[in-house]
Amino acid sequence: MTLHYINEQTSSLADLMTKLATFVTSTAGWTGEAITGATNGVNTSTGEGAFSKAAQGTNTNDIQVAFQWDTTDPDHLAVYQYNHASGAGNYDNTRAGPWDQDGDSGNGHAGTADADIDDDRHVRITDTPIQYWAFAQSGASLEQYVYVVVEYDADRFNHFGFGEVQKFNDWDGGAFAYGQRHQGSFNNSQAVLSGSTALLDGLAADGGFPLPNNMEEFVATLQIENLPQQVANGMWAVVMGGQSSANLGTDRQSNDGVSSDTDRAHFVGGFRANEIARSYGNLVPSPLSGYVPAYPIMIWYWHRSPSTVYGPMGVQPNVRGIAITNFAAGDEITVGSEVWKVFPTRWRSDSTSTFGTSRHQGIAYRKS
Amino acid sequence: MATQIETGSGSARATSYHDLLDKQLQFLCSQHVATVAVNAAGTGYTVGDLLTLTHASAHLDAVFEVTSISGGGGTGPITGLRIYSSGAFAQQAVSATISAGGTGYAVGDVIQVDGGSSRLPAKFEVTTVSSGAVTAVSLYEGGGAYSSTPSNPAATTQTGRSITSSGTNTANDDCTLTVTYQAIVGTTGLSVTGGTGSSATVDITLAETGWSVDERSENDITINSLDYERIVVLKGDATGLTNKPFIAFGTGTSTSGLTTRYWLSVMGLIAHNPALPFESQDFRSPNYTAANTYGDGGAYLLLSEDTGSGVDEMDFWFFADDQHAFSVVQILESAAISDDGIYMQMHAGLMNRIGTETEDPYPMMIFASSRQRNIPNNAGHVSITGIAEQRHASSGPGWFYNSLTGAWTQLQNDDTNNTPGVEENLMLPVGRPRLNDDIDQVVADGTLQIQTDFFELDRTSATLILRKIPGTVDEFFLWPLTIMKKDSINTDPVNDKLHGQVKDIFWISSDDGTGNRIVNFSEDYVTVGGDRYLIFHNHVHVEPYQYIAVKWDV
Repeated sequence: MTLHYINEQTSSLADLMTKLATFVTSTAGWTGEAITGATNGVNTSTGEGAFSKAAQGTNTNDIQVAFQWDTTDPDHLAVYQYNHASGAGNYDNTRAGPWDQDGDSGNGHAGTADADIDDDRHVRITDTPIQYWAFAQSGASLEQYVYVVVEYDADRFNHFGFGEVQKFNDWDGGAFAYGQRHQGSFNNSQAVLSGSTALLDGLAADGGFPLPNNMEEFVATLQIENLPQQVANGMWAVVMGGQSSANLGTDRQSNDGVSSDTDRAHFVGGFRANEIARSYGNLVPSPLSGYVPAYPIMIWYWHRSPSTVYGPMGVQPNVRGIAITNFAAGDEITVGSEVWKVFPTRWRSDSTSTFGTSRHQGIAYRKS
Repeated sequence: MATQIETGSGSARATSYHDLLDKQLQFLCSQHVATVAVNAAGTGYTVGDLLTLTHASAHLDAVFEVTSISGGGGTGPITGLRIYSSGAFAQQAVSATISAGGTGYAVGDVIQVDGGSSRLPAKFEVTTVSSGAVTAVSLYEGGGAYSSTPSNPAATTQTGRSITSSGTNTANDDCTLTVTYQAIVGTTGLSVTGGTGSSATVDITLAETGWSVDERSENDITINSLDYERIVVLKGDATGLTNKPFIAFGTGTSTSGLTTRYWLSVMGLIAHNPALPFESQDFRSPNYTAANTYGDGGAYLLLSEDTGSGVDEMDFWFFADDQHAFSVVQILESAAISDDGIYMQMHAGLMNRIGTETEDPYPMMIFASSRQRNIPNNAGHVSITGIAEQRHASSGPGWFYNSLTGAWTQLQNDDTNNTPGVEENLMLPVGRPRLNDDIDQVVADGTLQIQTDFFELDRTSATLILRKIPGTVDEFFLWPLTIMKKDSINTDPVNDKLHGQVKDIFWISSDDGTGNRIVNFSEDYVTVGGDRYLIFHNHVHVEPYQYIAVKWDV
């Protein structure tokens, strides 16, 4: 097992993507897709990027992700996931953009304008991010992943990532990608608001105004095939909360000009809700006592009609949910031979009256 | 870990509540078969055959399963075996003659052999006396378990008395016996019986299961006007640990009209002072409230009742290592299918700790199916529950030792669904902790939960059956049973804690692959990750969420 870690200052969105590309390809061993004019899979002139890697864990399909930002108004980074039948290394430069690749998941705006990018799956970077941290794993027969934390403003963080689930059993699929949506200053309970989402998250869902009515377009996607009762030719699932089965959106398999867009399946569980988070996410860690409970991000497959739940299907590797009541951003926790680094989901606050914070909700990444 | 399975028929099953305790003690205090190998392969065996190793030193026989044969046909010589039942073997007493009769004895007195080195001292019952001197004895509670036997003649100590006309006893502990012992079984070239073949022999290794009587095995407790009831305290070897577990069992009966109800009390201690009466022991789990007195709110293993026509023989499954013991007893002899079985559960000893031994010296858990003694055992009752369910609002039959507070603490998953905040001490995954308040709320209820969708604490039909994990071969998921303390109000989260994980017992969803429960799932086994797990439902409840899987680790 090889774990990779980096922490660097950044000066702009393009600078972050340039540095990240070096880490992802040179250190973590991913393929920088051959985008025209790209270095290590990123073209800062067009704001386009893509990485891929052959499945190493129990995943059956390669991990293929892409990104887009508006070079004229760099703020949000769109996050795409696709599943080209020929696997890693087959990014098609003849297509309109990263959203237009074969087997696209359906999430991430089909365009380059920043004003639209943040209406679909994205992560907010801004053009003046302060620093980023990246965590990755490589090695044969191990789940490949890259997790990125960006301090986009002083004490403000966003998270995005891609990789493969540590699966239970050998069902087909397992590659995932996610960005982060934050509901803003709507109220003081952003940590558990359905209009926010981070990681593989089983709480995100549409809601009453001002919550979005297209939350399925912001959430994590998971590449799956041949699951029980999955729709014919189904290739994707969304990981989210209580969304109607008719409102999970479709993928963009029609990008290949042959296939049809197909309904997405529903995965639940995850970071902020359901079986594991609900049971174990209420314990408050303390470095003083040495008791630091951090819970796994575990997911289930929910076929909606008739309502049937399978699983658990697996966990997001080397990342945990954690209450950071007694931790600051960047603190490290040593558990035996392992070192974990914790961050707020977005904005740590001890105030119950300040709007827009993520309170004491946190995410722990394995550093070593 | 050792496992013993006695089902179906035969006197190896438990014939009474005292007999069940005898067998439990023999299992815990004897040696079990740790490994088995083929010595002579024999001929004509079939994969799946069960072969019995018996011996004069066997309190309980060992049983081996044929896992492979040679020859390419349906029968043949044995090439592979696995342990099905570990057995309980010991050097033990088999008979005794009187060396010195002593004085003050009465018929029915129980005397324990002193000396030697034993995990379970032998006892004899006085069968005849002459003017207070013992003239004959018979073996009582089996022959014990010795590593070295006392020299003959052996001194004795009285542990139980007969009822005299005055209600007192005047024995002077001056009876001595010449005891005959049976040596423990050898380890090579042992003949086995059963199966379709013949002439196979096996080689075995033996290992201590790891418990010993800790200077208290009383036979003079009076419960419900019966004065031969027992209390026995055992200490676990807990090899590698400084803090040893102590567990205790007591026998008793209750009467309701013409029905006599039999039960075992299960208790735990973190320390034991043999010099003090049992009711004076500090740090003991409830509920032996005073001499000869039990109260509700303890942990009671309800057993077969006698409604006037005798008691049913009971199937049992024992699981133990030198830190904990778990047992399941099926108390309805007439149950033709396992769905009709009435399964009672019992746990005593250490859990898997969360933390170091310094941080949590005594992660003990005590559980038995009922918090009450004098209730019917054959129908759903709020006081009868299972180790995963822990269904009681305030004073259930599950206890854990909280090392932070130094107190035995009662588990309470609550029998009212969807009421987090009432219960504080939970058994996950069924228990539902309250959400933190305000800034410490980092998770929410979400769409689907074990507690409200797959499990119904009011024992109605659950909304969903949790299906197996899909794959080339669908797999069951085994949910660890974890004890959590979560304060009911948001005062001091420092005390919120996971207190341990029950060893080798898991909650499992009964799914036949079509979304229906598995019929007659109990007593079957599943294989997960190469290990076998035996399945049992909770008491009389066969809803898909009422099953546990116990690691069959032999």
